[in-house]
Amino acid sequence: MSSNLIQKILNLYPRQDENMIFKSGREGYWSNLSKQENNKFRKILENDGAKSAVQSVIPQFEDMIYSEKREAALELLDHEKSGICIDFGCMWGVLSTGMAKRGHEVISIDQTYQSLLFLKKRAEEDNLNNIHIIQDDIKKTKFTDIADYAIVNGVLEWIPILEEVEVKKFYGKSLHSDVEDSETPSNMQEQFLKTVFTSLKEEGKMMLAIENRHGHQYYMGRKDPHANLLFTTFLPRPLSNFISKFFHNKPYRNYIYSFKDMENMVRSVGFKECETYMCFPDYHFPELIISYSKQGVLEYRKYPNENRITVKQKISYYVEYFIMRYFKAKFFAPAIIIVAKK
Amino acid sequence: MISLLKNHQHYGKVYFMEEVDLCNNKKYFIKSSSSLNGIVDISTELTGVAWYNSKVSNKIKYEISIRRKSYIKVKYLEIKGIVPKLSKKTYHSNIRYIEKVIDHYCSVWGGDSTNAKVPLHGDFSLLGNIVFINDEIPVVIDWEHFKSNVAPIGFDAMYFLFELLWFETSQANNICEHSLTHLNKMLLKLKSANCLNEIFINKPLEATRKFMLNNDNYWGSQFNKMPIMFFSKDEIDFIDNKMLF
Repeated sequence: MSSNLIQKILNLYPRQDENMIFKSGREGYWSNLSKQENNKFRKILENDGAKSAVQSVIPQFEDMIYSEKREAALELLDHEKSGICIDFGCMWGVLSTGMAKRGHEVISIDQTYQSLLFLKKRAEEDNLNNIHIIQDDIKKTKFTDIADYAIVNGVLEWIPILEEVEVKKFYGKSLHSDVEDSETPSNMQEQFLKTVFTSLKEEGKMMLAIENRHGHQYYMGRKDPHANLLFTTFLPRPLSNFISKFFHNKPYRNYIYSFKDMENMVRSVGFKECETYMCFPDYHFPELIISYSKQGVLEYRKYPNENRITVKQKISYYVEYFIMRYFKAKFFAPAIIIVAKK
Repeated sequence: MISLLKNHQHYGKVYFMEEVDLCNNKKYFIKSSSSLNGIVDISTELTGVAWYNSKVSNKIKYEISIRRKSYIKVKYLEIKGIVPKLSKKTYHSNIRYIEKVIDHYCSVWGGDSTNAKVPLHGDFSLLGNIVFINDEIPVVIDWEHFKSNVAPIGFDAMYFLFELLWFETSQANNICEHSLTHLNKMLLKLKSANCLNEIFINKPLEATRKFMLNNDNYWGSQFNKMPIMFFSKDEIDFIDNKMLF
């Protein structure tokens, strides 16, 4: 299958660079690291390899990059037959690696070259020759009926952001904003989901993970994980937009959704079947993933979480336990995972 | 309907899921892993289950759904039965179950000479690892720590009894005389069934702990959480002195 697949990729991306990364000519930047940090990281990556580079330059991300715990949501997909998977916005490739280990041919797409270089190195070190890497703007990919699986993990909410993102800086004030006149965030997100839909074969499945707009933690004072502002996830969009402009001098565009709205958007682009799940405490390091249904919520139970350290975090957990166990308040679950079938 | 109920818990590298087939009203428990350690744990468990199934009539039903170099997934059919409640994790509140489990141990592990090394379950615990069909017949599950022929006969049974005693001690801050008398009775039962190695005869608790300390690698990072390692020196002496053969 690999050579056929490579041919299909080459049809769309005829150019491959010296690192065997397929190039579209479109570049961008989204990273937890600043460009400066990434340059330092790249040098160590080339000399010492992927794991050493992570351990010496960004040890705080070692778990985020290497922990198989992060792959848990992939267990919602069926891996009995090997297929082709596209990881949209793969970044360092945690889930690409997870799908490759499960036996699939993986096409990993991201705009940030530094992240892709890391993935390339890691795949070599892990002897995973079934990961094919493309640098492109995921909104502009042109794959059609090629994939059995598509991964959209923590990506949809960033689709409306057109500028380069260094996460730490993005949380602060924006100095300029040229996105004011672009399309509405939800339109852009819907368009992107159409691109994902088109890339899938008939009966192909998309796994999408995103925060729940109405996650109980946001009502209890946790800041919006993208805008870094209080209450903007659940307030009406115009009000969130006003708050974001007032405090950060930029419009509010990292739209996240409620369970119902997210499912509606997924269905609106053509997906026939949707299995919706609640994810606790978040989709990055899930401890518990249960069906978003009356029966599913009955499966809610206590779960461990090493990051539950502060009093506020502990109170938030007890509130969650209380509302899930006694009120079956699935609407307030922290994160959404949808497995949708074309 | 599928649910992920545990993700890499207890220092393990295994995903634990539950799948309910609403059409057939069947429930499965799924263990899978994409990490080397997790794959080893699940493979070890399969070896343990195969050994156990060769010894019992109520077999654990399972299917290896996927086995690749870097991924494994095993589906176990639910064993319909009672798992004693975690809230009642003391010795004296589980006497009925304890007797059934000790009988079961003798029937599964017995038959060899008392000097022979026997397979090790490694987490032979009433707290979630034994299901009672019709509230009567024990089925031992969770064989992730299985080792072939490494333990002196009686070890898992000793572990089982002393773990419950430890929970009782830690909850009540007291050792119930009635529980100790019963525990003595269970040791005699194991001995008369030729299921107790002589190392456990004089100081059973100390011998159990010593075996664990000498083989801590069998438990990996979970070793430090094994309840019976928390007994104090005084408690060990007190309990062992009450064990009269």
